[in-house]
Formats: sequence, structure tokens, C-alpha cells
Amino acid sequence: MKVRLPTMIQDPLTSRYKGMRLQESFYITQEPFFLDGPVTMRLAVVDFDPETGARVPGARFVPPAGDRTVGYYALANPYDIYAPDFIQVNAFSTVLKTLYMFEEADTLGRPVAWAFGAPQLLIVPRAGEWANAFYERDSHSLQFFYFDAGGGRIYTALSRDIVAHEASHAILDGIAPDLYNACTPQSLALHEAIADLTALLMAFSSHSLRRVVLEQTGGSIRDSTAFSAVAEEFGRALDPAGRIGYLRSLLDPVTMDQVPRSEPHALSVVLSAGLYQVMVRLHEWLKQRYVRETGKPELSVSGRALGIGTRWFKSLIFRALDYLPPGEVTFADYGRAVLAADQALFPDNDLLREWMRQEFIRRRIVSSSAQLAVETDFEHPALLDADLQTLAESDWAAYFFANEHRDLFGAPMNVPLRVRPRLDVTKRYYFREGSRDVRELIFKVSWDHYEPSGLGRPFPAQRQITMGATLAVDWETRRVRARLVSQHGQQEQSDRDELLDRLASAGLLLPGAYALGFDGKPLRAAVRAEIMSDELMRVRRTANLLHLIPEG
Amino acid sequence: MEALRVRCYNVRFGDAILISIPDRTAAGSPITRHMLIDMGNVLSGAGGQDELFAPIIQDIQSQLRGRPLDLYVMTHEHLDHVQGLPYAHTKLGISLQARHAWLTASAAPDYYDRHPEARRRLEALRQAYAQIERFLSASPSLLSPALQAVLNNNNPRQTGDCVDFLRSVGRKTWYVYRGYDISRRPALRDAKLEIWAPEEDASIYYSPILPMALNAPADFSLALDTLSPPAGVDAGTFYNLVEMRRRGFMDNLLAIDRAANNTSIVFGLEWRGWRLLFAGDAEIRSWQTMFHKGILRPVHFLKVSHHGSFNGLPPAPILDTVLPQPAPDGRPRHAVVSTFPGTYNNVPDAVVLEELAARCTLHSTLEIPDGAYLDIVFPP
Ligand SMILES: [Zn+2]
Ligand SMILES: [Zn+2]
Repeated sequence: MKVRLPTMIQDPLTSRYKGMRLQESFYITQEPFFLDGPVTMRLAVVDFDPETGARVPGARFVPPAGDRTVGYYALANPYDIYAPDFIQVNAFSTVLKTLYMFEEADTLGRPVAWAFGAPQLLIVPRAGEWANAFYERDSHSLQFFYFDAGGGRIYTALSRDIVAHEASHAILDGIAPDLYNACTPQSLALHEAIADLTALLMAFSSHSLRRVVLEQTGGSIRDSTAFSAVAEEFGRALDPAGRIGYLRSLLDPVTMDQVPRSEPHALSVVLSAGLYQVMVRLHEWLKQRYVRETGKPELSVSGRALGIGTRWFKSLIFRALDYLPPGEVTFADYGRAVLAADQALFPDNDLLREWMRQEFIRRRIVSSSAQLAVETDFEHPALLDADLQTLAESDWAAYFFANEHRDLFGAPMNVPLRVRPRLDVTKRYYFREGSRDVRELIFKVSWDHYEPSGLGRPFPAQRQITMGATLAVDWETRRVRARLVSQHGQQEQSDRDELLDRLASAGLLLPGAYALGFDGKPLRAAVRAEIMSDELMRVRRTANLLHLIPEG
Repeated sequence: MEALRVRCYNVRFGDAILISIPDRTAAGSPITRHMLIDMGNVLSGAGGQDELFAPIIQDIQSQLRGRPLDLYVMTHEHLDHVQGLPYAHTKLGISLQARHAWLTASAAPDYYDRHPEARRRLEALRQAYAQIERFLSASPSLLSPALQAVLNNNNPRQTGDCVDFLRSVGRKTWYVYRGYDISRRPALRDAKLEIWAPEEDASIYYSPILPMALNAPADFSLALDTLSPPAGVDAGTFYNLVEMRRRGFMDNLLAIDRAANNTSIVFGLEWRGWRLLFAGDAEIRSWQTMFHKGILRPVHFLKVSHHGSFNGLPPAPILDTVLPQPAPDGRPRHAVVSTFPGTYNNVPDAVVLEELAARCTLHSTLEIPDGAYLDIVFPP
């Protein structure tokens, strides 16, 4: 079934900009069913009346009928963007579009599952009055609040940036669920950087928006003053927590040694701005190429270059997410995953990889390109006669295999291993002679690692964290396409100490029962130190620090 | 020569502490100064029993021998710290007088006129309290004894009446904070008092309020017409969402409780080389503030904050400042906790008490009968 959906291009207060259209439509065909809400197999809008708390009926779905081949959601007034049904449909379509961006064949090449283990992500488009929006695993939901500012009511569910940002937290949680409980500040910062870049990519995926940006910047996204002026224009109206300043922060030259090592938001800028520089160089490079190829002036090829560049960049930064080792990860772990994924994607073209390495060194994320070296494309005897289908399907077989071949996973001896659900993905790869689909088995194992908690009583003296390895195996050749193993040193451990100490001092990290309410269920705005024994704790729900837990 | 004595009464869940300090008059003759810190207990459950106040106040009167208290301290506006004297006055017909009374700065009648930011934050807390109270009174099945206790303890109307009464306990009433001039209020010759908390601007103790979505009925079965899941959505998942959406009320109730605790008057008392610290119910935010202002010093006595809960225990580096290990001088060290189990969640906390007991001699009102007292004596 084919269905047409409207989405807001930009938030309502700024999209009056230069006569730009407020909405654009897109068509979808992949979903097995549509219900009022909108409700589909993987998403469900649940709208509540802000006054009474009663559930509000969702927008009505009109299926194709007669000679009308396209289904749609009937809106009382399609031009009234403040009507509840428009807000419902917009939040839904923006989340769906974001989801597709991750799942496409040149990106993850697989459907994303939610971290909470249920089929539907719930979307609450008018969650209440607050200048905020968040993803919350425990309630399976994205919640978008509204607030009054400058004489008008602002619905965060109408902002493409905010919806894409929060949706990507939910999507990334499904891909790398351990980040939700991570205590390495860079793990949380990675969540935030990916969310900001997703918002950017969603903006660049809009043809109208690309055109406005390029008109305003003379065809270059490198020009920081012009670009940030546009960025600011887009961000000004909807800036609940100063968060939408992300567009400007993408141009920040900041390096690792200039930010506090335990602050995820500040850290995330180092990564997102670093990756953005790769995007800028890619855009410039594509423009030069198209100028050469077509003889047209730079400005007129800049739109095409941005369109193509956005796609390449998107596969570069998202495809890597499936390669992340389980557990705590650092920016360097992510950098290695990006390089491994790109090596597999474009074996013959080292261009983006070289820019990545330069940027990671310039930002002082690593000190040399040796630290970004990944083991790719090698053979291991254990894989030659392994039954990959069984390994993919049976936890038992996978566990036995991993336990037997610890060396293949780079796992330490004498620690219990845990196997994660294997992924059977088919992705599109590009070679000099064209593209082809490659089937890959992604096999992850994890293990516990113990270190001093660094916190005084009543916190236990030791903390447990998760480490792990990812193996990507070519289904056909049985060669290992990439192996990524957690690499954590003293620095990462002291970063964790610093974060947890800061949270404990602020009363946000609470031991055991103190992180629960009077009914024994978790408090919403607390990071929990789970007491495993007198001597051992582990940390839970740190990702809520990103948006849900108000600090200060 | 006489010793300084801290007498801690068992009022179940609450505080009542009498300090008797050997001192001298202007003419140089010996005299004992008496200071009473708080008097109250929670109003619900086994943790509150008002009959206890009669023998306690009689004991205080016998110590005073017809003279007024030199100082009465109301650390903060929680029923378990303020409700005893008004009760004794109206229900038992016995009163205590004091020359001076210290009330926490934010209890001053004009405080919120002078501090608009604190007013804004207080109003947000009060509004949240009213919503939570309304919600819980409509859903008695959710109201556990612990929830009832924290709700009562923070009831602004009841607390307000008690505070009004306490304004007139002292012949002179001072609304104090760190930096407030307390010299000769009261006059002490051999002892020195120093206020360490709260800060004058109480707004630093108020944390932000989470949205609560309390307008939907608590009992889902009564609201099937307005609160049923949309077609295609699992009912269990839907009701979990409804519940999670209002879940912030637990956070908010604790934030309300925490804000009042953090406005506690915390003061140090120095006498003949002994240093005593009375911490009220100060929680982490207040400990942090004192720590960062560099006020805290090693002490020989600690009135354990907030009835032995984790929230009242100074975080590790601060505890190491107040009760360093090993002790910096040879003198014995004591801590006293006034508490009662089964009232507030996880109070008292065994790990907290263990940690304190590892550093000093820990005394607890749990060791003595209701209405009785324990004495800690500091020789000259
Ligand atoms: Zn975020
Ligand atoms: Zn108390």
C-alpha cells in the first residue's frame, strides 16, 4: 500500500523564511498496515488532552479506494499546523522518515529493533508543558512537550530537528543498547553527537531546505559565518534548552583538551563538529568534481553535491553503529568502527577514511592514526567450516562457538562471555566497477569488567562495566570483514570516575533503593547505582542525563 | 568544673535536642546555658506519638529551673521538627519560653518578598504539592504509609501554623543564615556559635520540577471511556505509558522534601576545644555548598542529619573533612542519630550507620525507650 504523509520542513516560526514552504510530502510503501493515530507496526502515536488527560482520538486513516491508489491521513485542516491531528501526523512522519534514514540498504541494511523489546515505539506529541522533549526506554516512548515563548505556543513535536534528534536516541538505543547504561562520558556523548548529526541529515534530506541553505551561503556549507546565521535563524524559535544551538556548534573547532572530560554534551560537540568537517570536505570535493564533469558554475552544482554528499556521509557515520563493540565505547572505538565500515563499503577509495583520521587527530581524540587501526579482511580457521546460519539462529551454538574461539573475538580468558543477538544484514557495497549487495553476519560478545568505583560509602567499592567485541563476517567468503574490540585504558577509567563523582555530588547518582520512589519503582530523574553485593555496583539509566534529568 | 552535655530525646521520628553549656555571667559567676534544637515528630503512623512530648518538656523544664531557654532553634520547616511546642502549648497546656529564637532565614514573614527567585521556585514546589495532594486523595490505594508520612511532613498549611507559633517562643526572634550576625544572640562567654548553613538565598536548594500528568484518573478501570488504548496498541504498554507519564510526582515529592531539609540551620558550637556540629536535616546540596565555601572542619560531635538516611550523609570527601580518619586529635568523637524505623523509606540506613560507627561512637535513640533521653558529655 502506498501512503502519502506530510512533514514539516522546519519549525513553524522560522520556515516563513524566504517564502519557503512549510511542509513537504513523502510517499511510503514499506509498512504492512496503517491505523488511525497514526499507528503502524513499529510506531504508534498516543495523544492525550493536555487539560483532562483523556486520550484524544488519532488522525483518521483513509485507505486507497476505487481509482485512488494512495492512502492518506484525513486532516480537518491540512494548513492548520497547530491542530492536534496535524501535530500527530507530523511527529509520526518525521520519526518514520528518520527511521528509514538508518535502515536503507546503503546504511544499516536491516530493520532496527527497539531496545525495550516490544514492537511499537510510542509517540506522545503533546506530552505537557515543558521546554523539553525526550526518549524514555522504560515507557517505550518519545515525549514531546510544548511551551509558551514570545507570545506563541511552541510544540516541539512540530520541529523537524527536535523530532529527528529524539527519534535517533530511540533508534541508537535499539542498535547499541548498552550505551543507555554507560558510564564512560564519551559513550553518552556519542549518543548525543549521533542525534545532532541525524537532525542535520534530516534537514539536508529536504530538497527545499538544501536550497535555502545553499542560497544563503553562496553554495558552501563551509562558510561558517553565513551558515551559522542560517542555522541560528532556524534554531532561534525552538531553543528549549539551548539544544538547537547544535547547528552552530557543528562549526566549533573545539578539541578534546578544551572540554571537560566528564560532560557528555560538551564532549559530543568535539565528535559531531569533527564529523561535520568531513561532510564539509566531502561537499567541497563533490562540487569540484561536478564542476569538472559538467563545466557548470559551483553554485549550480552545490545542491546536487549536497544531496549526494549527505547520502555518503550518512552511510559513513550510521553504518558504523552496527560495528560498535558492545558495552562502554569511546570516540576512538567509534572512529575505528567508521573506518572499518567504510573500508568494507568503499574498498577502493580511501578519501573519507583519510579525512576521518586527520580530523580525529586534529581534535585530539587520538594522538596518531595507529590508534585508529582496525583489523579488517582476514581469515580464521574456525570460520571456514562454521555453520553461519546456526550461529545466527541459536544462542547456544553462538555461545559455544565464542567460548571455544575467544582469540577470534579478542576476549580475555577466564571471564564468562555473553552473546548478543546476531544480525544477518545485507548491505550495498560500492566497488570501482559498481555496487553489489553483501551479506554479513554481525556477531557480538560481551563480558564484565571490574574496576574500583571510586565512590565512598554507601556506594560499593567496585563497579561492574561491560566490554565486548564485534565480529563482522562475510557470509559468502567467510572472511572476517572487521573485528572491533573494546579498548579501554586508565584515561577512560578516570573519565568514568569523574562523571560518577560529579553525579554523586549533585545527588543524581543514587544507590539502590534511593533511586526508587515510595512504591519501589524507579524514580524518573535519577541515575541508579544498582547494588549487586556489599562490594559491587553497576550503573543504570545514565542516558536519561541527556535530556530527561534536569541538572541544577 | 561542669561538663557540656548534649541530651537527645527519643521522640520517635523527629528531633528534640537539648544542649547545656557551662558558661559564666557578666559578673563571672558560673551559669548553665540551655539551647533546645527542634521539637517534633511526623504526624502519621507509628513514627508520630504526641504523648511523648509531655515527659520530655517536663524534663526540659526541670533542667531550666524556672529560667527560660537561652536559645530555641527551629532548623527547618518540617513537621517532625516544628510541631512539638505548639502541640504542648495547645493540647497539654505547657509552654517553654526562650530569650532568643533562631528560625531558618526563609521562614521570615517577608523572606519571599525579598527573594523573588526563591519565591518563584517555592511557588512551583507548592503548586506541585497541591496537585500531588489532590491526586493522592482521589486515589487512596496508592497512598502507602511512607507516602502519607512525607506528604504530611511537607504539608505547608500545618507547618505554617507551627512556624507562626514558634515565631513567638523567643523574646527575640532571628531569621538566620550563614553570615547573619548572631553575636550576643544569645550572649555566650565560654562558647562560640557559628552558622554554616543555610545560605541566605534559598533558591539554590530548590531543584527543578518534572512534569507529572496527574489529570487522568489513577484507577484505569474507572476511566475506560477516556483512557483506553488506541486500536493496534497493546493495552499493557499503553497503561504503562500513562503511569510513567505521571511518575514524576515521586521525584517531585522528594524534591519538595529535599528543598525544606536543605534550608536547615546547620551550626557549629565550640567549647573548650570541643567542636560540635548540629546539622538539622541538611542534604547533599547543603553539604556541598558548605564544603565548597570551605566552612567545614573536623568535629568531635555530629548530630546526624535527616535521621540516618543516605540523603543526609555527607558525600565521602565531605565526611572525610568532618570526621576524618584517623581522628586529628586524641579526643573521643560522637555522633547521635534520632530516628525511628518504618516511617520514611530506608531510614535509618544500615550502611550509613555503619559508616558513621566506623568513625566515632554512634548513639541512637533506638537504644532508649520512647520519651527517654541519652546524654553525651564533653568534660572541660
Ligand atoms: Zn540528545
Ligand atoms: Zn526530619
